[in-house]
Parts: sequence; structure tokens; C-alpha cells
Amino acid sequence: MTIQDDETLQMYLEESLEHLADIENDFLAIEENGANIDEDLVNKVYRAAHSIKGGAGFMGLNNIKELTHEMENILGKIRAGEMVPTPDIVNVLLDASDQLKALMNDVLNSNDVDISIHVKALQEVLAGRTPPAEEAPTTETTASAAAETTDSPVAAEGKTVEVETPDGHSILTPSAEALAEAHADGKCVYLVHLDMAADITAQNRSLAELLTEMDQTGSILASSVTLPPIATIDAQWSCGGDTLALLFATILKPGDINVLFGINPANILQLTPNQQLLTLEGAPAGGEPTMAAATESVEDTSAATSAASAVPETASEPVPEEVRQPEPTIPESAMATPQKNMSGTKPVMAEQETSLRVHVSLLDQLMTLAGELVLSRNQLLQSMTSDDHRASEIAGQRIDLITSELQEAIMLTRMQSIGNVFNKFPRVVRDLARSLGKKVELTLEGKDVELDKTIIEAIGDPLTHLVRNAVDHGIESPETRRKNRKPEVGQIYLKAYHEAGQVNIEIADDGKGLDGELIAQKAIEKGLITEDQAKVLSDKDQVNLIFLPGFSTAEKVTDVSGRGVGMDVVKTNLDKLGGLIDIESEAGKGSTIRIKLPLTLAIIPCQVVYTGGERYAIPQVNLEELLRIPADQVRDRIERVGDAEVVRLRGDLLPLVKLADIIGVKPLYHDPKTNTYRPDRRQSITDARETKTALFTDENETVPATDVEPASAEVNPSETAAERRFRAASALNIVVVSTGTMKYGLVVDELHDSEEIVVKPLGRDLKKCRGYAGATIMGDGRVALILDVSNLARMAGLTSVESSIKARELQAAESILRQKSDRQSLLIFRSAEEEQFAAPLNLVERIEKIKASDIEEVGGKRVMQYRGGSLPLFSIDEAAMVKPLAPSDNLLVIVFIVAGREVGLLAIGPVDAMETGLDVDGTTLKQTGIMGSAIINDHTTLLIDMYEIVQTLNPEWFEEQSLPQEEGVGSYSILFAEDSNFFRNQVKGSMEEEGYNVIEAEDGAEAWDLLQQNGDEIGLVVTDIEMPNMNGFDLTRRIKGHPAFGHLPVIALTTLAGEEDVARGKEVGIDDYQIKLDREKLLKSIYEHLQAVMA
Amino acid sequence: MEQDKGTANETGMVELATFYVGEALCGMDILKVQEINKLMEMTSVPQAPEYVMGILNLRGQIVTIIDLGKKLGLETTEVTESCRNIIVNSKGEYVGLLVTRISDVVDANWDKVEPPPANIGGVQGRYFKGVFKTDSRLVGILDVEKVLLEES
Repeated sequence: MTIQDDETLQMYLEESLEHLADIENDFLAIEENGANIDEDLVNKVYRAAHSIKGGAGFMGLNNIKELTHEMENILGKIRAGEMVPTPDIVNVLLDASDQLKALMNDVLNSNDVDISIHVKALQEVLAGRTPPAEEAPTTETTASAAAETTDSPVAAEGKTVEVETPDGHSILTPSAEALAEAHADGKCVYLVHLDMAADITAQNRSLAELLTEMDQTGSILASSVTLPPIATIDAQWSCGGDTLALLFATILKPGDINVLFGINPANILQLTPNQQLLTLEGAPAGGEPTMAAATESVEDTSAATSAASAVPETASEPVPEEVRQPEPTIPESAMATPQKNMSGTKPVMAEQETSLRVHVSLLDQLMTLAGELVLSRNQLLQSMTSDDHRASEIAGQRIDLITSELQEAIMLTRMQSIGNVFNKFPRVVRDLARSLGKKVELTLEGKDVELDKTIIEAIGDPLTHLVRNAVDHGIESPETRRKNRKPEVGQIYLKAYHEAGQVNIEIADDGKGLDGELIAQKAIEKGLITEDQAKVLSDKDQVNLIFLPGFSTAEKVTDVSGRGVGMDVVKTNLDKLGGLIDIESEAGKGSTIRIKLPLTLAIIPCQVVYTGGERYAIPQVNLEELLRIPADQVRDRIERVGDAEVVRLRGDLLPLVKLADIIGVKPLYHDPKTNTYRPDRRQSITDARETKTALFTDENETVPATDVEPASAEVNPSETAAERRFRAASALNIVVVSTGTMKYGLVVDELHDSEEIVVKPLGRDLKKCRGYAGATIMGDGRVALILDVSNLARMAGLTSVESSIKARELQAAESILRQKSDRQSLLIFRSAEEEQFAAPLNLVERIEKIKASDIEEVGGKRVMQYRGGSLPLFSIDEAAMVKPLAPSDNLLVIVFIVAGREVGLLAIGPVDAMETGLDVDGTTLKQTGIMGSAIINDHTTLLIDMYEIVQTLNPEWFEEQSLPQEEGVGSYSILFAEDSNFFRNQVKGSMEEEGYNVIEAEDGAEAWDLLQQNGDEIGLVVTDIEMPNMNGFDLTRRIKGHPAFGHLPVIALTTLAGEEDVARGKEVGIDDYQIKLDREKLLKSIYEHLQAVMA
Repeated sequence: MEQDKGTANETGMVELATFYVGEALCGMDILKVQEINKLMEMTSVPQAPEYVMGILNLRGQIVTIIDLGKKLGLETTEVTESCRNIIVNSKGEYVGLLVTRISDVVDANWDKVEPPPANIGGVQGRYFKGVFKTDSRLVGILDVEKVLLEES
């Protein structure tokens, strides 16, 4: 071999491998184009093959040269249009390029490999004899078989692992699976090298005896000669050679094994799970001192390393020095040998990239930053020696800045395009589809999306799994597809894109999709969920069950659903990367799997929380939002369903989990008076929110005598429960986290900042604590644990299944509740200290904090400058008989829109927004500007009528506003159904004021009767939604379905128009939605609809 | 065990770092000791095995601190002024052993090491490689790897 030198060879290899990577996809493209040849593409491949050939000739790599030469010939023919690239031809080419890759990976032995099969196949293709299609798989197997004999790392990747004895005589090829299994079972694997003369004959034993013994204590995974079944071996049997190498798996530890066998300990080597050979003392096998003569050892080592090491000639030179030193523990030899052994015996590693391409501009940027860092350091040192605090501060800030820039730049160097992973899929899909007889087209999108190197490496397997699944189980056979009226060619889309600082990967197919019912059935059978749970699952939830751990075991699921093989494994792998996975499927139409991945793993932004005296970090990826429920609202917003607590968040119910409970620490609350932390004894979140007596009995009864907590209630009787519950310290801090499949609220003691943290692994003693994803070091040098929110949910016994059941239960309970009274969101505020007011929240535009001095009195009216204009200001006492506005410096302005203008209502705090079931008394305290009263938080609260207030104070605004009573509009009556007296009177009043005639009904049924009696008069229906007997939806449905009334416009009045409600309303025919107390809009809508009716 | 005696690093002279675990005087090969410190700013790990005191930031590395007494089946070590963490490197990661107090470094000869009795100061004999007699006291030589490996 005329290998020039290392570097040239290395460069050649890198370049050639790059060419090869491209070639594969190009071949596929050529195949796709068929007779319609893209000359540029073929040229490109041709050139690639040509440059590989040229280099190979120069390096003396004859096999590579020969192979590429043949490929080149075929490509030449294709280019000239003399040959049509059929799939079979491309197959041969692909096989050849696989072989080429294998040769490249073991370039030094490449000349000794038998490549005749490929050459022959290529030549046949060239001669025009296309290999029959059936041959395709066989060529492939022979290809790998051929590669195997040459220690090719690529070939071994599949099923077998190669273990070479230190003397290089024999190579054992146990199946990788058996090996991994043995290791996983906690067994030790030994490479036993028997010397027939010394170990058997000299000790007066028979080989059969020894083998039987071995068979009893473990299992023989592989041997250098083929062994007959152990039981049949008779005493005279000999292996037919001087030596016998065995790979033996047993539970015996290195210390004990030789007690059993009595073989020269130097001949037993332990094979570690990472394929490293160790002597029984645990020293790396390479530095083996007791083996024969030193010179022989030299050969051993180099032979063992030659497999993948590029330069054995040079490598062997330093070895004698190592070997001459007899101590196996000498650091250098210990350091050097395992590395070589690794590369020699761990073939899979060879595929991993050892070098990275970085853009020069990025490198320049790094250099500049490094330069700046050095300068700043100099500044810092200087300022420190001169004791110049100011200067060191500046230098510190600069270093801070540069460090973060440097961090970003270095992260960028690690970014690689996802194309590296994606590019192998066309081949995977093609080969698999071919072997399954399916037609599949793969579309790749977003190959340029970049991800951290570690993620790119780790995501390959799960993605391959998903893509293979899509081909294997997702896409149907062409016949089935035809039957189902689908195009014969199945589509698989693989798409990557950035979104919200994460990378999203989508794998979509138009295959048969997943059958949720069957999956749910399976999950019940496996005892993963109960039947009751299964009943309430949505389709999507059902499909997502396949991610439950323990769900899928290969065949069983395939039988039923055809999907979901190892999906939980995929999910686990993605979890490790901090990724999320979600699946959507429609039976018969296909499925879409979405994966969300963080851009990088090393440094992640986290929310820091505080619980039980320690800080914990929650990765921002999992963070949805932070929620702080003020102490006095806890009781309203936290509800109990069974023994679980939930919080109502924008209409959704969120299960709550107390962090302190799951990890078993005592929650603390901060006492601002003493600035200390004290144990929080609330058993459930809503405790201490009961009446005063309940709280006191609670404190006296549940505090055990041993509790060292200073009895605050006794010592400080003035600190009443009422005071405490309004204190900020008792507010509830909730971190809303999502794990992909579910969302829940984690209750913590305190919320701290969000920080960028560096993830550090936890020691092995803590591996069993599943609640943590790792640890990090905070700014003060202390350690904080990183929480694993999905495992926490599991530990809390929370599954998405369960939470959805809860949500349903609660919704049922809620709808009963809602029937009783309407719920209305109110803004609560005060004008004078003693009087509490409320206004419908949906009428409020904004709330501004102002100083009393901001108010100007101009022209007898109060205004303030606001957004470049003058905002008229009112206070309630101007219009209504209430206490005057408190003379406070800090005022609030509640901005409403009345009569098309913004007006401000002066008020004082505290303000609060709450949703409450309104039981409004519209008579007792009714007066101008006040609609009525209600009891809110144990206070009689006056509901203001902003419209009336403004109208009283500025009647002239309404003159031009009031809707002209056109001829005819007033001649119709309005049918108004509303169950609440208060609202009925309110709304009726405002409609009558406008001159409409109103017919009122207390519920839907009554309205329906009235409509039938007075059908001709009625021109429009206004109805509440939630009513007893017949609700608004049903009423509307009847009206719209009736031939005589179908034309009537229906306006629905709600307190809260949720999107779902609106959609449902539209479905039954509701023409418009209006908010109950927004009288202007309602009147406008009535007017418009009436006009439409008239027209 | 026989093979323990036979292994290469347990012959000749050895320097033992000695320390007290509760009342028991123990020792370990000083070459196994990475460092000894008195950092007690630990972060407790809820749900960790009982013998884990917490985790510690040792110059950027997270080190699990193990209450050696607890791990050996004794009472929980009370953290006092004299307590120290002995940081050892075990299977590629740092582990800190919290001991009651540190004692001298003793020169020992493996030839004079005797097999351990069933019990040394309340600690089971199987955790020891042997005992070594100094002029005044008995030092139990801890088999650190074994102690750390075993689930307790």
C-alpha cells in the first residue's frame, strides 16, 4: 500500500465520505426521474465517483478504485441516455456505494476485501443484463456478509459485534442483542481464551467437562469454532485446534470466575458493556503484562487497534514503550490502550463524526470575542491591583457581556442542520417500501433547521423509528389504497421548523391512521387505565395512550392497531432530550406525529421556584405560565373534586399538585413581620379560607404538641385569621406546566426569577429519584435541583386521563351550579373606604393609577390628560347618593366607553376582579346610577350603572346618540326571556327607554308560549342562555325551526361569551351575542336587526 | 476473600487516611481520597435514599454527599464542627463521605493486615478489607467501593 501520509488520507476520506453521503440521495433522485434524465444530477454523481476514483488511485486503494470505476461506467451510460436507471439498476449502484462506504470506514484493510460480487453485478448491469428484482435483498445480504468478514464497522452495526482476541487469532461475532441483554441482566461477559495444552491437557481435564461447567454457570455467546450442543459433547471431543476462544456470559464477578475454571487468569478478559476488554484486575487488556514476550504483545495491541485506527504503522511505534513498563496501572498505558480498544472493538462508534465544519465567519467571531475577553480580564486585573472599584465594576460588566456572547457563539458552532438526519430517510423509506411492496413518496421540508449536535445525534433513532413505522404500519399496500380510493402512492411528509424558540418536527402520513378504540381497549387490557377512564377519553387522548409506558410490546399491538410499536420507548428517548411528542390521527386518513425539541441541551432557561426551604428549577420548555392567586380569592378559584384540587383558569380546569407533597417536604410561608419562614400547615389549599371559627379549631387541633412552631395565634391574638388571609404571604403561587400530554399546576411556596442554568448530572445514588432531571449551580454557589415535571405528575398519580375525567366531573357539577344563578365577572372597587362597588368587568376598558394632582378642573368639569386628549372624569357620588370619593392622593381611574366616548370613573383601591354567581337585589338600594346590590365577599356591594351615571351628568352627550325612532321600528315588540329578575328589569328598562315594547318571559318555555300567542307583534327575540325549563339554545332552535317564526332575529344575552358557546349558538341560529350589561351595544344590535327585518 | 489478598494493590506499604464513623475508627487508602473538606452548604434532595445527606457544589461539579455512618447501618451522623467530607472518586464520579471526624494518616503494611472481625464499632465486618493494628488502636480498612455499591 502506498499510503502517502496521514493527513492526506484523512482529507481524502472526509471528502469521499461527503461525496458518498450526497451520492445516495442523488441516486434516489435519478431513480425517481427514470428515463427522464436530469443530466446535471447524473453529472454531479459522475464527478463525485470520479474524484473518489482519482483519489483512490493516488492513494493506492485499489478496491475503492475498481468499484468506483465500474460505477462510473454505468453512470456514463446513463448520462449518455444509453441506459434507463430502473430501480434495479439503482439498487446495484446503491449496494455498491454502501460497500464503498464500508471500505472507506476501514480504509487500511480495504484492499483485502472481496468486492467481486459488486463488481460482477455492476459489470452485468453495464452489459445490459439487469438483475432480476428478487435478487435485490440477496445482494444486500451478501454485501453485508462480505463486509462482515473484513471487520467492517458498518456491517457490524446491524446485528453482530466483533470481539477480537488480544492475539488477533480469532474474531468472535456474538449477536449484539445477546451481548446487550447479558449486560443488561447484570451479567459479566468474559472472553475466555483456552490453551488446549496448558489449560486442559496439563490439568488432566477434558474440554467437555469445562464446557458443561460453563454451560451450568452461564451461557456461551460465541466461540471461535462452531460448538455442538453442550449436552451432546462427549469426553473425547476436541475443538480441532490448539486454542479455543469463547465469549461467556455469567453472573460471576471477575474476582470469582477463576475459582471455577482454574484457567490461567491472563487468558480471561472481561468485556465491558462499552466493548472494552479488561483483565480480571480491571486493567485494560492492552497493557497485558503477563502475556508471553513483549514483542508479541506489541503485535497484539496493534492488531487489535488496526481495525479502525487509520495509522497502524505509526501507532505501533509508541506501544513498545508502554509495554516495557510492567505495571498495568501506569497512567499512560491505561490512558492510551482503552481508547484504542474502544475504536477497535466498538464499531458503531466509527460512524459518529469526530470533526465538525464551522463557518469561518463564526470562527472569526469567536476569535474576536476571545480577544475581548482577554482585554477585559487585563482590565479587571489592573483595576483589582489598583483597588479601583469603579473600573472593576465596568470590567465585570464587560466580561458578563462577552461571556454571554461567547456562549451564544459557541452554541452556534454546535448547531447542525437537521438535514444530517433527514437525508438518510429517503433511502430508509425506499428500501423499506420496496421490501414491503408498497409505494411511498417521502417529502422532506426544512432540512436547514439547525439543532444542537447532541440532539441531532440523539434524535436519529427515534425519528427513524417513527418514519419506519409510518411506512410499515401507516401506509397501506397499493391494493388496499386503491380499494379505499386513495392514490396508490402513499405520502409521508417530514417537516422541521422553528417555532417559539423550539424546533418542531412533524411526521405525517396519509395511511390508515390509528384506531383509538382499539388502543383504548388494549390499554384497559394491560391495566394501564380503567374502563371508566377510557369512556371519557377524547379521540386524541385515546391515540396518545400509545405513549403510556408499558403500552406496547411489539407484535401484540401490531396485531390490533398496526401502530404503536415501541412508541413509549420513542417517547422516553424524547423525554430525555427535553422534547415533547404528540400524535394526531384520523382513522383512514393518516396520522401526524409532532415532536418539539429544545434547540440545545447544555444551557437551558429555567424558572426558579422555592419550596420547603430549597430552590428548584423548572425548565422553561415545560412552563406555560405563572399564576398567583391572591389570598382572598383562593376560596373562589380553587375547587375540590373528590380528593383532588383544581383551579379554574380561563374556563379550563387545571389539576393542582403540591410540590411539597410529592417530594415530601414541609411547605413554608414567609412571614413578613419577622422575616422568617414558618411551616405552612394548610392541609389542603383551601384550608384556612373557611370561617374564623374553623380556622381556630384547625390550628388548635391539628398542630401536634411537638410542633416547635411559635404559636402565633396565641402569642399574637391581634393577628386574626381575617388579617392573615388577606396578606400577600398566603397567596397561592402556581406554576402552570405542561408535559405535552397534559397540563397541570404545580403549587410552590414562592416564585423566584427565571435564569439560564447549566445542567449537571446527578450522582448514581440519586438516579432513583425520578422527580429530578438533574441539578444546577446557582449564582450563590449552592446547588438547586431541576424538576422533571412529567415524572412529578406521574408521582402525583396524575395522568392526562385522570385530569380529563376530573374536568368532566367538575363541568357537570358546574352546569348544575350555573343553572342556579348566572355568573358574572365583576370589577370590585371602592369610592369611599366603607362602600364597595362593582361594575361588570367586560365593560371596563382599562384601569389607570393616577395622582390626585393629575386631575384638572376645567369648565366646571374634571378631566385628566390621557393619551393626548382629555378624559372626562366622574365619581359615583356626583350622580348617586353615596359617600364622597375618599380624599386620597393615589386614585384609580376606571375607563369605560359610554356613548362612544371614553370616560373615567374615579375610585380607590383595592380593586379586584372576580367571577361570582350574582344574586342581585334590584330594588332595595336602587337609585340613580346604581343598578342594585349584591353580597360579595361578605360586603354589600353596589352595582353601578355607568350609563346612567354619565347620562345624569352629561345628558347632552346622548341627544345625538339616541337612535332615531324610525317609522315602524317601534311598532314591533321585543320578546325578552330572562330568568333573573334583576337582569330582566335592567334590560327591559333600557329597551323601554328606547321606545320598544317589551314582552317579558321568565324562561324559554314561557317565551315560547308567549311567542305563539303574540306571534304577529313580535319582531325580535332577546334571550338569556342559561334558563330553567328551556334554555336559550333550545328556544332559538324552536324559533328557527318554526315556519312562522324562523325569520325572527334572535339576540342572545350572556355574561360570558365563551368561544364554544358562541359556536354552539351560531349552530342553532343565534344571530348575535351581546353582553348583558352593555346596554349600548345591545340597543344598537336590536336596532340593526329590527331594521333588517323591516327591509 | 482470597482474591482480595491477591490483587496487586494490596501488598506492601500503604498510607491510610483514618477517620471516625461514629465511634469506629476506619481507614482508607489515602490515594483514593480526592480531597477532604468541611463544606456543609448542602442542598437536600427530597426523596433521596436516607443515607444521602444532600448535594454539594464542588468547584462546578455536583457531588453527592453520603452519610457514611448511615450507609454503614449506624445512627445518622450529627453534623458538628468536626465533621468532614471525604471526597472520593468512585466509578468516574465524585462522591462525598460525611464522617464524624478526621484522624491521622497511618502507615500500614498489608502483610500485617488481619481479616476483619464480624463487627467493628457497630459496623458489619463485611464492609472492611481487614483491620490494622497501630500502636494504640485498631483501624478498620474500609472497602469503599463495596460500601458505595451496596444498596442499603
